Amino acid sequence: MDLVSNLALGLSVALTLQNIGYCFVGCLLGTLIGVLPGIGPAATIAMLLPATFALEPTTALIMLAGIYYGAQYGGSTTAILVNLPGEATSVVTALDGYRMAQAGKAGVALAVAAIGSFVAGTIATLIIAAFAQPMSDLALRFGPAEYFSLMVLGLMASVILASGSLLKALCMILVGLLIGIVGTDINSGQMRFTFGLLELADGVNLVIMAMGLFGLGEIIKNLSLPPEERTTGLLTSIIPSRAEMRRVVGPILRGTALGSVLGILPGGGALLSSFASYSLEKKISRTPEKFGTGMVEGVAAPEAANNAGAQTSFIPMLTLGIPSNAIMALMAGAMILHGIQPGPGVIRDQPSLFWGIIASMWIGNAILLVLNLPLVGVWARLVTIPYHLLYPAIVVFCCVGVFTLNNNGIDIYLMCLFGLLGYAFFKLECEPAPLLLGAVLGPMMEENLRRTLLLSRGDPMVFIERPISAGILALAAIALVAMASPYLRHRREEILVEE
Amino acid sequence: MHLTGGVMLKIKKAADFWAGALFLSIGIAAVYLSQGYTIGTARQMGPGYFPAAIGCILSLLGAVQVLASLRGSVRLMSGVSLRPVFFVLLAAASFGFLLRPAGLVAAVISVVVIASLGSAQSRPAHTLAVAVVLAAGSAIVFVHYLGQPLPLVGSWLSGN
Repeated sequence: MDLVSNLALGLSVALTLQNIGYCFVGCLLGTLIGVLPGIGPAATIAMLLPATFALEPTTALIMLAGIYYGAQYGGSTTAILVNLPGEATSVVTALDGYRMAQAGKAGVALAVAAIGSFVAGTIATLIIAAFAQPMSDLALRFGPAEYFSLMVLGLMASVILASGSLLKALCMILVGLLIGIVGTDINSGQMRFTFGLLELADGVNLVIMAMGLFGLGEIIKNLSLPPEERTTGLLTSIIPSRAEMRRVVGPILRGTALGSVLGILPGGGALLSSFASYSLEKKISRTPEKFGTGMVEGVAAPEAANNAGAQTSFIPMLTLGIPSNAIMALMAGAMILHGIQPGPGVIRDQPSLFWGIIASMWIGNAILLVLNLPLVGVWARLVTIPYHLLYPAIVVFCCVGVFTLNNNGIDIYLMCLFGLLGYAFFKLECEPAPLLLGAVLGPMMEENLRRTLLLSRGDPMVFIERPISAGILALAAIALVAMASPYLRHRREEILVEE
Repeated sequence: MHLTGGVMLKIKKAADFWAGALFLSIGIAAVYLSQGYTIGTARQMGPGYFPAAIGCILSLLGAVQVLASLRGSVRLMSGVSLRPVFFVLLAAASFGFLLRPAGLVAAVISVVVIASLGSAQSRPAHTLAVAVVLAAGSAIVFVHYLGQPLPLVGSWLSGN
C-alpha cells in the first residue's frame, strides 16, 4: 500500500539519530520560548528560525516543525498556569484551564492538554499522509487562474477569522500584498518600492516583519498596559484520575475530527478549530453551565482541536504551496530560505524530504508528550519570571536573530519600523496576522494574475469561465457576504471575542 | 476633534478614523509610486500594474473606513504610551548601531539597559544582572556554539 510505504520512507528519514535529536531540540526550545508570557508561536518561530540556517533542509524543517508544536504547547501551558494566552488559539484553553490551575489542578490540565495534543497529532499525521498525494495530484492540474482564485479564497478566509472589523482585516491584507511587492520584479528585473536601498532588492524578509510585529510590537503593547497580578496555583496532582481520563476521551476525539477538517481549509488552522470545538463540547454537554469553571473537557477538546488543526494546516502549504495562516507563511518562508519551493513539486521531486517531515510530525508529538509531563514543574516556575526581567531578553533575541539573517544593521532598523507599526496596529485595533499572510502571497498572486491574463489575452472573465476557479471564487464570495451579514457578524464576534 | 472643510464633522470612532486614514494614505502612496514604473495593460502587465491596482482598492476601503468612523456612537482611543515605544525601539536600534563598532557584548548590554528604561518596574540592580547574564549567555550560545559570525569585541575596542 502506498500510504504504508510512504510512511515507512518517512520514518526511515525521520528516525535517524540526527533528525530525532534536532526534533527534540526544536520541541524543547519551542516550548521553552513559547511558554514565556506574551510570545506566541509566530514570534517563537521567527526568533528561532536563524538557528536552523546551518542545517540541511530536511533536518531544518523537522526542527522547525518541532519548534512550532513546542511553541503551541508552551502557549497552552502559559494560558493554563497564568491565564496569559500567548495568542488567540490558547484563549479558549485559558477559560477552563486557568480555573483548574486555581483549584490546584494545573498538573491535570497540563497533562490532559499534552495527551489530547498527542492523540490529535497522531491522527492528524495519518490524515496528512492520506490526503497529501491526492491534493498534490489535483494541484498539478491547476493553472494560474485556479491558483489565483485559491489565494483569494485563502485571504478571504483569513479576513473572516481575524478578530475585529472585517474592513480593517481586508485593508491589512492589501497592505501586506503591497509589502510583498517590495523588491525586484521577476518579469522586468526592475526594483520596486525599494527606496534606493539595495538591501530591499530581495524583498522585505518575513522573519524581520514577524519579529517586529509580533516580537517588539507585542513587548511595547504589553508594557503600555497596566502591570497585572499573576498568581500561580499550586501543583498538587499531575496525573489525571481514571474518571477524568474517561471524561476526556470523547472531547479529544471530537476535537481531533473538527480540528483536522477545519485545519485543511485555507485560513483555518489552529484558531478556528479551538473555538469551534469548545463551543461544540459546551453545546453537547449535559452541564453546559459548568464550562468556564474548570471543566476538564474544556481543556481537552480545544487542545486536541488546535493541535490537529495546526498539523493539517500543513496540507495546503506543502501540497499547494499556499500558506493558510501567518505561521504557515513563516514555514513557507523558511522552506524558500532553504531552497525548497513549497508546492505540488515537493512531494514528487523530494519524497524523502516530504515524507520525512510528515513522519517527524508524529515523532515531534511523541517527544512533546515525554518532554512535557516530567517538565511541568519547570514550566510552572518559568512563567512566574516577572515581565520586566523577561522583555529585555526578548529584545536581545529578536536583535541577534534578525542581525544573523544577513549580517547587516539595516535589517535591525527595519525590524524597529515594523515594531512601531505593530504597536500602531494595536492602537488602531487592527490584527497584524493577515498582513503577514498578504506579504507572503503578494508576489505569488501577482505572478499568477499576470500569467492568467497573459494567457487569456487580458480577459478577466477567464476566472469565472474555468469551473474550478469559478467554484473557488464563489466560495470566497459566499464566505465574505455571509460574514458581512448582521446575524453572522454577531455570531462571529461572539466566538472570536478576546477574553 | 474637528475636521474643517465646509461642514464640521465629528470623529466618532477614533481608532477607526486613524486606521482608515493610514490605509488611505498608504493606498495613495502606492498608486503614486507605481506611476514611476510601467503600468502596461491587463494582457501585458508592467511592474506598476498590480501595486497600482492594490493601491486603488486600498485607498477606496480606507476612505470608506474614514467615512464610517464619523458615524455611530463615540468610542475614544486611549493615549499612546510613548515611554515603551521610545525605549524598546531605541534599544533594538542601538544593537544595529553598536554591533560592528563595539561588539556583541557591549551591544547586548546596551539593549538590555535601554530596553529596561521602558518599564517603570525595572530596578537598576536587576537590569545589570540581566545584562551580564544575557551578554555572557549570547556570547557562549550564539558565537561559541552556533558559530554565528558576530564580533565579540568590536573595531572600536580592539583597535583596528
